[in-house]
Amino acid sequence: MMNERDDGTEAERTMISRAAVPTGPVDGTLVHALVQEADGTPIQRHPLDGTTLVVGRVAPAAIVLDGSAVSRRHCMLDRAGDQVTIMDLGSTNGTFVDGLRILQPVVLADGARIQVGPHTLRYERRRREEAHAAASLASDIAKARAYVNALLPPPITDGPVRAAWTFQPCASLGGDAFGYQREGDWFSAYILDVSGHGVGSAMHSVSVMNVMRQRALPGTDPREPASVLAALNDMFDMDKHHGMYFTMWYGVLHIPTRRLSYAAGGHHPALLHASGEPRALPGRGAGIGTMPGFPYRTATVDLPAEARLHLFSDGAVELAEDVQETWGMPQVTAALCGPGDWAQGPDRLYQRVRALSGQRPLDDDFSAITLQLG
Amino acid sequence: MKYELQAPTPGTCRVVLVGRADAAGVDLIETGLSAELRAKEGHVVIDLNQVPFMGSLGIRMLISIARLAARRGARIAMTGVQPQVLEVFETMALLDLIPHAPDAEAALALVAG
Repeated sequence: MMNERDDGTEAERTMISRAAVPTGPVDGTLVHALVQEADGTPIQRHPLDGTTLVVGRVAPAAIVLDGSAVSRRHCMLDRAGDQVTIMDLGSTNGTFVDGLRILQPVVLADGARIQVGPHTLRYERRRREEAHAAASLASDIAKARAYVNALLPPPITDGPVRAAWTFQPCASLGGDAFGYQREGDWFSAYILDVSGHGVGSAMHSVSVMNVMRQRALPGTDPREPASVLAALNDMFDMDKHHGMYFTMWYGVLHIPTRRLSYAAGGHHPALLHASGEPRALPGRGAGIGTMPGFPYRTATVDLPAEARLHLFSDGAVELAEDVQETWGMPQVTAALCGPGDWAQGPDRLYQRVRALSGQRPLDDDFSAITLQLG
Repeated sequence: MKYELQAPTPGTCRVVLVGRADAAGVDLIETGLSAELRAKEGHVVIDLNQVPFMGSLGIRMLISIARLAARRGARIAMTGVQPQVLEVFETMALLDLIPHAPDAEAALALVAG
């Protein structure tokens, strides 16, 4: 349902504020905040310092959220001591607390999820020292997110192999990474997904990205996928890396012959889309770091002219339990390979995942890459 | 997610896992389960009949259990793997590390050697 149009000319936007770090002595007093999580952006923490706070689509609301489903003055939070109450301000589309539309003021419990249009805000009540730690962690995650983003390759818009991608890290960082590069007649690409979430997983993925970027696998031919995965498996044994492993797909294309060699280490198969029906390129192999000495195998396939290759991570396939039954590889394939601009395929898939998830923040990083030949 | 440890035969520990092995589920049990298994001896059978989903952290937990068993010279097997989970295990070649038996009796026979 859409909100009525306002006649003002003010620009709609999401107001981004820096993560608020609670100040004052560490004395055990409670700190109240609304935490805003959105894919691809750092966590925003809005402190409830005053007695009232208005959420709406335009200033002077203290928290400004964009979107036509958000009313100009949507809802208000009222703090009395350590009790916080929320009330709807006659919004068109309503205010929801833990999935239920509120019809009268409601006292918020710690962790309550407030839905305003497409946005979710979580009410958080913590001791000041805990809030300090949470703000510090959010800052570290934001820095790690920026670092991972800086290492990703730019899209390729011309040449024999073009590339487009969508990468949306989840709020806690899920350890996704990918890369590609051309060296003469050879074009290599990979995608990886580290087990677990958080700064540790992101650090692990960054380590692997740097190894791949710098071709820092001793005695390994980067044109031989199985040997690349075997070398990484040796280098990143999970017992030596805090129990973390990662799944990976790595492929190398010989551009003149269009012969693709690839190997998989526990990752989702790549999708090949040429003239006929899209098909998964089968691949079986241990997650990198899980089984010392695992014998990875290189498979080869000759690609037709103008073939497309799609790579993606868990975040594109594994959704929340309540929507997972309606989502799987057929739906992923349809979104990636459907009609329309090839370069929009990854974003089409992301928008489908977001819509199916009710615009909630995703639980895992989302990565999808499309490589277009010819 | 929940777990239960049983002793179906002398010298064998059966780990019954219940629930989705996603990040939240694994977080609930991993520390306690690891501590209890470290204090036990003998072979291990993991019963996955009641696990409809296995995420990367669930797989990591299984691999850690397998490595623990290997370090003390014990054998390990799984049983009751649901079809959608089995597909993930096959992609990851996990069955090379932890063999899958069709039922509880076969799993016990597998670890008994």
